Amino acid sequence: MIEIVDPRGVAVVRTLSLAVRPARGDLRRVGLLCNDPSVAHGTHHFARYLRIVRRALTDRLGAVEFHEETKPVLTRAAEQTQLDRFHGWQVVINGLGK
Amino acid sequence: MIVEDSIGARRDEVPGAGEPAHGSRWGVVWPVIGKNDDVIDARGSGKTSSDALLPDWPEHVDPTEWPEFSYRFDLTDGLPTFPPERHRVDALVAASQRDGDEVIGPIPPTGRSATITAIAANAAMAGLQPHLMPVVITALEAMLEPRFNLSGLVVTTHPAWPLVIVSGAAVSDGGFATGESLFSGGGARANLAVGRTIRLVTWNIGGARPRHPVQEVLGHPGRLAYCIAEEPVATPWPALHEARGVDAPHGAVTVFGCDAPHSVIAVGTAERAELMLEQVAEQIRAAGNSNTHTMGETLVVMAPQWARLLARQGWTRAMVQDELHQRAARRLGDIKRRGDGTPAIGHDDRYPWWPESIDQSNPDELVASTWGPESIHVVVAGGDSVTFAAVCPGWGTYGGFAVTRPLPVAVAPAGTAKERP
Repeated sequence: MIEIVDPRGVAVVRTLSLAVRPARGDLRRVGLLCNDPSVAHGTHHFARYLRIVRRALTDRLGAVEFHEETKPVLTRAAEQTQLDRFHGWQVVINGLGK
Repeated sequence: MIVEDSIGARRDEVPGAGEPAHGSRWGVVWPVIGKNDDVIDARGSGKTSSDALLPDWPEHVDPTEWPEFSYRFDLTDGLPTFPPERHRVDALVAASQRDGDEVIGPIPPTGRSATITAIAANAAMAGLQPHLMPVVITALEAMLEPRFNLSGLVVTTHPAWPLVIVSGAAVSDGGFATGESLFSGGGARANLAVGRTIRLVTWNIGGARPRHPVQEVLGHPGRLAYCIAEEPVATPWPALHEARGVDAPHGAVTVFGCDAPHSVIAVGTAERAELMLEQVAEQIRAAGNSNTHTMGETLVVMAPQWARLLARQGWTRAMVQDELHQRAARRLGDIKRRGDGTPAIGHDDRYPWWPESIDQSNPDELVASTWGPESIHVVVAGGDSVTFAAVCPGWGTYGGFAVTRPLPVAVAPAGTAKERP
């Protein structure tokens, strides 16, 4: 028998609190954090796609106010300053556009 | 503990839970929720969540069973490995001149911490010689710089992977090959073991598995091991790190996220510098290259003979970079088209990452493939016989940008270190 060393590294403890889920009827302010529009052109145009998303959410939730921002680079996590602008919005949907 | 995944499936409903460990599910089932309703990030929670999905580490194995053990525990991408035996790992840690518990950083996508010991265990699996540990650690530290965007690079759909380029004194000290078969290791253990260690670190610590979560569409053979070294003698120009302004008496490591090499041969150029460089530029500005649409950086590797032919005609590396930048441009109307073939030059067709200086309403505008001359990294390496070059397109504007770091110590094997000023 040989002694072997675990090559899988060390897990880091990170405890997060769950956000409170708003009741369906209370959901009025929705943030949309979008990836960049580079992959959506022509009939899949990004602006058109977002209009469809907004319309679908409005149809399901009623009158909804949207705050929409696009990440500068789709492959990078959003900077904290950008995330801060979503503070106070009830729900944020991210990853839109790809 | 009852845990749930992010879509509410109970842990005991997770496919394969409780089965002998195999596959890659541990790297993707996160976050999980503990019974106290705290979210416990499965990329890190001691022994309570992510490790609960990892098979228990046995600490001892029969050496004859290691190959099957390594596959059963999903410790390799398919290529065989050496067992990370304690005494080998200890020797690698000692050679690093760092503490075994020191954390280099979180390795994406899981974000598990890369301790020196864990890196050494992967190095042992790759057959890395102890004196090369500083090369691996320096490369990983460079890859973890934010501008490199490793977390994006390892999972992107694009076929790019971190290429490790060793330059300067470390090339001969470390036993790296710079000649024939450069991109497939050159027959040198050092090249392949360094590249292989990087791969295994991202596999075992980072959990970068195909499909979940790596979305790379076609893949890249360099993912198995991607490390080259620059020719230190038969070159007319200073070392890569010197050109990039890095003082490195022990040599340096440059990491660059890039495609597999696209070869270019100087046939039909009468060995005239401008025509040879036009041949390279045509490869850089190819219509389907990511750079052509998003700019960024690219790598050009020139065989020593090619570089000397240019140098004899008075060309410095900086002149080559500038010439390639000027030539590797395309007409905007040929870069972006609509379905009917006409140039895509409307307001909604604008690429937001292109600089304001580009008139995106003008189909005749010439658009460079890189941000500037300095974004074209020129390396001299390869067999010294035929005038071949290679272009390794970068990951466009998204990341993988070249990072160069000096090696902190000489990498010569024990007892052979040379005195350096």
